[in-house]
Amino acid sequence: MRAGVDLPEPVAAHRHPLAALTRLHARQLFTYRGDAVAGSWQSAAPVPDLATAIPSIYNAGLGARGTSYVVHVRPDAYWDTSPPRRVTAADVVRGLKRLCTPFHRSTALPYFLSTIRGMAEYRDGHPASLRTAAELAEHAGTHDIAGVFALDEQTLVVEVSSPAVDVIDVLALPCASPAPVEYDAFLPDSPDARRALRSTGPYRPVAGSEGLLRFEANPAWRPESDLVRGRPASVFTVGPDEHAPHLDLTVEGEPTSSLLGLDYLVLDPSGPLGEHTARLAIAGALTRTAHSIIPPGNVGHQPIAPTETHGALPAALTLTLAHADTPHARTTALAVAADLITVGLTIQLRPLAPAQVHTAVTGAVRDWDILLDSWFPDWGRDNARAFLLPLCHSRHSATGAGDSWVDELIDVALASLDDPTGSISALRSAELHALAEAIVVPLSFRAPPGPAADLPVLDALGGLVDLTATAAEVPDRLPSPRHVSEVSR
Amino acid sequence: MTEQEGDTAEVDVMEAGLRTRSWSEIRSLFALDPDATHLNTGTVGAVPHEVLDVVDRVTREWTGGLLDVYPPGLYPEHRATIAKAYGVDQDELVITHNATEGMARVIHGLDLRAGDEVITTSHECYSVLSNLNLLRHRHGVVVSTITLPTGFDVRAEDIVARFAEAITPRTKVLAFAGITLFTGTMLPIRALCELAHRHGLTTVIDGALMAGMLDCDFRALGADFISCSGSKFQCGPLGTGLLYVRNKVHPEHNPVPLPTFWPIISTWYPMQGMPPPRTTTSVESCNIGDFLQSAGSASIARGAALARACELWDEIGRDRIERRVFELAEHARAAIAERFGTGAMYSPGTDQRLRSPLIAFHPFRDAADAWNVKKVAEFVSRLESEHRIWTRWTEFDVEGSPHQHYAARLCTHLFNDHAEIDRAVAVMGQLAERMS
Repeated sequence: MRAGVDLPEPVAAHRHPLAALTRLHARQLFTYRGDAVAGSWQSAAPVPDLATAIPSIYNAGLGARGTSYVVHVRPDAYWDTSPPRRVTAADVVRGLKRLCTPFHRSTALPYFLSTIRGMAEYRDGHPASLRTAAELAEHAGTHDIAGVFALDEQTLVVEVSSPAVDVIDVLALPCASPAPVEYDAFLPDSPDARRALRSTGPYRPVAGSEGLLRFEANPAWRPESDLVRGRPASVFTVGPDEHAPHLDLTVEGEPTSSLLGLDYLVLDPSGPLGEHTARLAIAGALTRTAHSIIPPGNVGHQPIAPTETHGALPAALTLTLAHADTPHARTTALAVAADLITVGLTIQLRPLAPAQVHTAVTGAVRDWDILLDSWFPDWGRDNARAFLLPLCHSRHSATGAGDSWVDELIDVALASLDDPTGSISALRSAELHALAEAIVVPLSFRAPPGPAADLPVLDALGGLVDLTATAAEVPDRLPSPRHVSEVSR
Repeated sequence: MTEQEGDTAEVDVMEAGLRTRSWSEIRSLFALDPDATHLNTGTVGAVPHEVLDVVDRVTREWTGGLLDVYPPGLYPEHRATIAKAYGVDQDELVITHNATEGMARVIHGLDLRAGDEVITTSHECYSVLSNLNLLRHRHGVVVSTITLPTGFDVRAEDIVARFAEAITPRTKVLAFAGITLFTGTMLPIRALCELAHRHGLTTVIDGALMAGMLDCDFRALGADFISCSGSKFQCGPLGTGLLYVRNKVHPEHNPVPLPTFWPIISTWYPMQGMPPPRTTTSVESCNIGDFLQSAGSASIARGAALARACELWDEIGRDRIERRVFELAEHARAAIAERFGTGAMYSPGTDQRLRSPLIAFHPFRDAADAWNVKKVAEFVSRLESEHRIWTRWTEFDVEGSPHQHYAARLCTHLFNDHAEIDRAVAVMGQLAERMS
């Protein structure tokens, strides 16, 4: 397989170019099936992975109030330790705590902070003096996320701030993978952590020869414990310079996912584009086919007609346009630059490596005036949270609209997700306000790129390639959504 | 002790007047496992042998025959029998499949529009909350959900005040359980109905636990709709329920005009024209019960069996049954309070008006175990498997707590006795001690 070899710790897998490889070795409480017909309800419905069932009122996994989830972890899922050790609820808690540390900022973190009770407080409670893995582990061992706790080795409770219909989808993100106790020895996604990855999936990563990454069969994985993944090959070898690879993950193929995402620009209001009129002028100068942030087919989408914007640009302005160093982004950046040159701007293009894209999106590094990025929905049903929160909320997004009224409207929408009437109305209003700010400027809608081979793609998780989907009998192994849990009435 | 009255085990109690028979004799009417302690009537009651016989006999009579099955499927006589027992008329009474069906047909039959508000509580049965949510999505109705107070010292006035505070100019309906299944709180039904009357609101009561427990006059309660289970305290077969639909105006009970109501699922709703306007007097303008009862072919045995269960209750004496059930409940409540402390009880105790025969409590020493569903579920499961004591666990939110709380719940009914309650509470105490 041709791909990079810098496999992230699962906590850093969100939007990572190697996230498809993370699926080979890291399981989550819930996931999505790769064998469903694209666009079907099954393709967007989460299914149990390490959990025994999707918590619901039917199986006593969800209280009638809709704020308390009880998750039972499968007793037959193991870490590839020696001897194999059972995956526990405490590992899930550890994984969620690891997501909150100041050492790695996940682009998916806003979903969790806005959903799980006490997670924001836990994130904010890390003292600035923390430096080492030992200190971090000590902190995690003595502080809790108020709404996440293990009842026993195999049972977890997740409490949410208000009823939210997308909680299971949030917990299905690979960055919410359980973390074994061994990870306490490393800072999240540090080089040492990446070298010591543990596996719960059908494969485990090992260092191969000549800089290659090798995934070999994980002896601790039990096929009968995994209702979704198969093991289609005994070994995967990954390297950036693989000759004649079976699969090239560095090449973007035709989209196969049915869920649309968004190409968009962020205009940095802290630089030369601080003036609202300047941002409006830029938005007005662009050739755009998208005029809303939420694409069609996603919850909250509203058709918005293009409007003429009246702005003014300072004379002789030179702007830096940063973009991912991919063929699609390069082409799009050139088109954007061409539009802006025609209105008298000088544009310097700055291609970014994947790690640089991450620091740009999270705001860790801000050496650009315009950022070109793409955002694909992380889940397909009830996904109101998946666009405006990470793109427009100034408290949750470094590239947010910077408008407290937008933040408030998004908060209102997320607090009433179980009431679509109120929620969607607030979302739409937030979107209109955010668009008026012209910090986030939609360019075009598109589905995530597919693989350069005939492989299944998940509709969720941003259109992730599923390298583990094989078994034809998989559908029969999946439990009914009304699966009865051990504590059912 | 009441159960010692005339304790003659082999007496054919059916030939004697049931009203005079001892409780131990009446217990023999029921298809109960003699080695089991049934303290879970809130989920499903025990069926009398005679009621089972009716199911069997009537099923056989009507199976494979060539008789016209539609007229008896309207249960005209059975509905009249049952209606009389609850102080209402045949046109106001429908035999349903269960309380859920009744609630669904009421909720979706109300003439509610976008922006109209329904006030309910978070302690309602799932089926009520589910149907209200459907209404919200379908019509844009606003569902305002209040959390009921819990604990031994809750007072009726606290509950009425919460409903009163939630009423707005857009409120159209109060929907609440007569007795909540989670904490066994008997809501102040009449007071809430009077609150509704003062604001011109429609009242919808989930009475799943009321029928067969309370000797009540539905009309006098002042509600518009009461949907009951037939298989819980009324001890009819599974798949039976009762629905009261107010169909005439008795100002002394409920002065509010009859609400516009659409009898959804109906064979005999007029196929041409409209039914006459709803009456404004004590004389009905249509048989709304027939509209609702007519829903294609029906199980004739089901209606007959439920009617027989109701007749048995009349023969034993509904007033006598209510006294018995509550006397046993007070015995159980006192025993639980003594063993576990009143602080462990989610069910009201101080205010007699709120007491019911369903008693929910926290059995363990550690208060944090209240949100440990596995531990509470194991407690109930071990009572069954190790001691053959049938109870259940319940879940609900508690005001001021971020957690979902879980409780053990027991119910008393006429076939229980003091000795088995004493034994059950003692066993619960020992088991809780071991598990704590």
